[in-house]
Amino acid sequence: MKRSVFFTILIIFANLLQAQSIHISGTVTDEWRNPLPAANVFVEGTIDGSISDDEGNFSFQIDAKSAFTVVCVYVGYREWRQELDYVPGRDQTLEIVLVQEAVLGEQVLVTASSFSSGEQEGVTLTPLEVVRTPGAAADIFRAIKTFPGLQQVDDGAGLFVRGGDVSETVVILDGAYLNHPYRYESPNGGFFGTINPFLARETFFSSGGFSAEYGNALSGTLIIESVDIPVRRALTLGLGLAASSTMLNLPLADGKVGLSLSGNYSNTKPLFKLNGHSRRFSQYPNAYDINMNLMYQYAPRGSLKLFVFREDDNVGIEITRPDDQAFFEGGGTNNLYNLRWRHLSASNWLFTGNLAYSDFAQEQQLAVLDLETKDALYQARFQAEHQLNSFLNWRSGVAFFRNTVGIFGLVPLSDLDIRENAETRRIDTNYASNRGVIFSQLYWRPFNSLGITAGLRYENDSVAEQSFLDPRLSMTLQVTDNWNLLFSTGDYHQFPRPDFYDPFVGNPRLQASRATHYIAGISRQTETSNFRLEGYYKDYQDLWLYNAEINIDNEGSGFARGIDLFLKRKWQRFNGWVSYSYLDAERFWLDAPAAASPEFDITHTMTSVLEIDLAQRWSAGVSYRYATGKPYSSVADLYHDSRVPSYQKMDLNISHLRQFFSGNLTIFYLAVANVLGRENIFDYLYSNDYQRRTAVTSSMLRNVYFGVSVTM
Amino acid sequence: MKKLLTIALLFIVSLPVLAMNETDSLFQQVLDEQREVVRLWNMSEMSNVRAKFERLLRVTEHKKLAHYYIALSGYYMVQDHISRKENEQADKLVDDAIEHLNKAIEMDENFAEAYGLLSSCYGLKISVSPIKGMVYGPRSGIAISKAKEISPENPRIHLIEGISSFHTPGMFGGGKDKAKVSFEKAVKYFKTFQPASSLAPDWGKATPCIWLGRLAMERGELDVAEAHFNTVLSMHPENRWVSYVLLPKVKEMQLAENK
Repeated sequence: MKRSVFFTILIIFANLLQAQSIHISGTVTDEWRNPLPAANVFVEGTIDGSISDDEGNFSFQIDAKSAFTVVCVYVGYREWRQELDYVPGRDQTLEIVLVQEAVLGEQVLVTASSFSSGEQEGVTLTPLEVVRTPGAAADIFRAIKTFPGLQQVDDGAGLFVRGGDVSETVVILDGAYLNHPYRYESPNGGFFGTINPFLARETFFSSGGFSAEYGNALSGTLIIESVDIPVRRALTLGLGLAASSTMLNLPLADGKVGLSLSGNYSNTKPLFKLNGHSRRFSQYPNAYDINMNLMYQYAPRGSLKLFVFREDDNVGIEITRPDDQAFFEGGGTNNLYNLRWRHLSASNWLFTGNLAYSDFAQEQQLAVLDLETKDALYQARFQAEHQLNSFLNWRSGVAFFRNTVGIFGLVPLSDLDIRENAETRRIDTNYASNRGVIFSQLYWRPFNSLGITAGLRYENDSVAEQSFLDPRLSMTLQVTDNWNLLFSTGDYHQFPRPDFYDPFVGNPRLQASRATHYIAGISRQTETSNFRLEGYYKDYQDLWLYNAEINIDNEGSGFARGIDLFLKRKWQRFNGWVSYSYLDAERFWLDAPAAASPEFDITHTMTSVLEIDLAQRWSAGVSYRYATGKPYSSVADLYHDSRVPSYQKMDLNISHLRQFFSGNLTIFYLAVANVLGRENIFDYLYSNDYQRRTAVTSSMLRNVYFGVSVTM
Repeated sequence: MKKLLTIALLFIVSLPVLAMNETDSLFQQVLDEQREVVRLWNMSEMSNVRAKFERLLRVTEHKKLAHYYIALSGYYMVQDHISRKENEQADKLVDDAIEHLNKAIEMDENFAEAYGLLSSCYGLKISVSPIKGMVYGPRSGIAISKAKEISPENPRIHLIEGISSFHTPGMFGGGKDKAKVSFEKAVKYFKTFQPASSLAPDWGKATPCIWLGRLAMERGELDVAEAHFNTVLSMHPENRWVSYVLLPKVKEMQLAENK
């Protein structure tokens, strides 16, 4: 009897323990709701699982007895996991949204594209890197500034590259040049870039020695490629302390047509109200932008892309000098229409072309200053490229630019005179220039370990009535498995900014300035770390120099030399980099009475960034930047004889990811800028007798920003 | 009761052993599945195999082998993507394969098979983007030298070296004569090769004969080529490339020659 009772209990117990079959199904997508095929979904500790199909769908059956954890892994994405309660007979449906992980290696540093050996001199960033970089405020330009070769001149986004002015770096979107790439444009660039990082598939930056494909820039290039056809419909809404945004991705016509629409509105009033500000505003900085990216894949290897963009910004801020104060009122509107064609022929010829139109209108008022600028740029470009064999790649192109510029209004005789009764002069410039470009370059690999890119760029400008031929050369020699020697040199020309052609305040016969780059360096790249050390010398000739008789001439000259160091390393949960730049620059240009440090001669710039994956859904980042103070004139008769105190800034950010409903990804973020609360001084404004001064500082000290982004 | 307790204790003690054996047998099962998938060249199924090795990696004690087989699955899939000109997918997968092989090497720095496959993966990087040859060519060379240093008589390493020489011009240290020597060595060493265990790498036995056949075809030695292809079919009668492409081509060439 005892025995039978025992076995009865055992059988009941065993039945209770018996595993129940559970069906698990769902979809795997990225944060933009694009399906991820071949993602591995399984139950932890077992090999029970499945991979997702082309639509991101998966399903499998398991025998469960208790709670279990489902894991999803996919190359290049953060691991996803979720513990599920065991409920007998209840099937599970999962909408898994994977988030890209920080990348290291080719995507971050060195070769961006195998067809562009010249690009080996630069860095590339993905949208995620831009957003995760602390202190970058999700801005492409600010994120780029954490890399070496960029000087910190103020708190803005302006790209001052290796001893060059901000105007000497060009920005190119999908092959079209952007004449005005900054929001809240200022002489130091602007406070942000105009392009939303999530519209950029990839961003590539070169700090010098770039190939013959790019021109009209003495210093650097920033090249942005916009996103491709979305695979799945997705809507993203963002709300932050000072901005709201929306983005819609729509695949149409079986994936042959794609549409991305985005709109952003920012008003910084709540941000300044919360954090306090050191300067008064007549109008808090506010802006909106609308983007449309329409893509059509007319053949498997041929596509058309239309990128339309409109941006409008306004600001009214108080400028204070010891004797006077006035409000600067400014506003700008930027429009871009860019049609890009891309076709890869059956015989492996790659053709690309662009037709683009952009215009920019700006109004500026400050005391007696009342200036209106209108600028329109028409562009046409055609390029062909062919991989001749494993060792030779040829690329050539032609481009035509027509720039019409009008600058009208009154400006004070002295640049910084903000008195109500200051003397003025009238500017009324209106001109059109036509510029033609032909370039050709060849990549040759004569030995396994040596790569050479040689190119020529011809340009002709109708206003300057000038033609030139710029030779460019870059070489990479692999000395060991991971170590490379790099060398590049070339001539770079840049035509004057529009107002320099004004017959009354400028010189209509002004010619292009020229820089010759010499760059040598070493790099080491492993699976987990990147190291790069480069030295450079840049010789400037024909710089624009103010002249009492003819306003401005080409008699200026100068040099920039320096060392850039970059070290990036990835540990398990940590991803960090350190950039250091040493710069020594002199220019005899513009108002300098002799060769002297220009305001962007920042001797030491150091940036360190650390990103940490704290836990499954939390991540944090910290960055610290130090820069030598910029030169200023402390005595009326001296030019740039002193330096303002050093610039120091520490930024923190933290973000948390949640999935509240099927197919949703919600990101909460909090950023604290200038944690140390340091008052950085960017310049001094002096009284008319040069006896008293006011420091120009950032508008906010320590400040907090937070927001949320919801994708569905 | 005493007996019951003894049985219970024995059961508890033997649990880890049973679990380990179960994992090994699963490993063997997935490995057999991979061989079958390669035999039928069914690359859509190879994604599943790769995923299973990825899951096994978390439960098996043979972690270095799991890393190796994830990479090997990727290696086959990359070849398929390259043939379809899907270079972006190919590049991602080959990067992933390289990462897994490096992890396998971290666990066993004398893992010659991993060095061999790593060399081949660097070769695939070059196939995806020839300009990267400057960076990956020397890396491939270093990896294969290391593999040969550790295991000079491993047939797969000679096979991989042969394939690399076949695709590299003589001026860069490759060439078809050099490839032939490597393939012949591979055939020789395959005859005596014994894998260290049932889970250890044991693939590619027929492959050198395919390459020798191709080389013979190029030289116009059609009978030699036919013999090599028949050797392949004697090992793998269902090899589609040999059955439907290479052998008919040889026959066609023989007919043309006889005319």
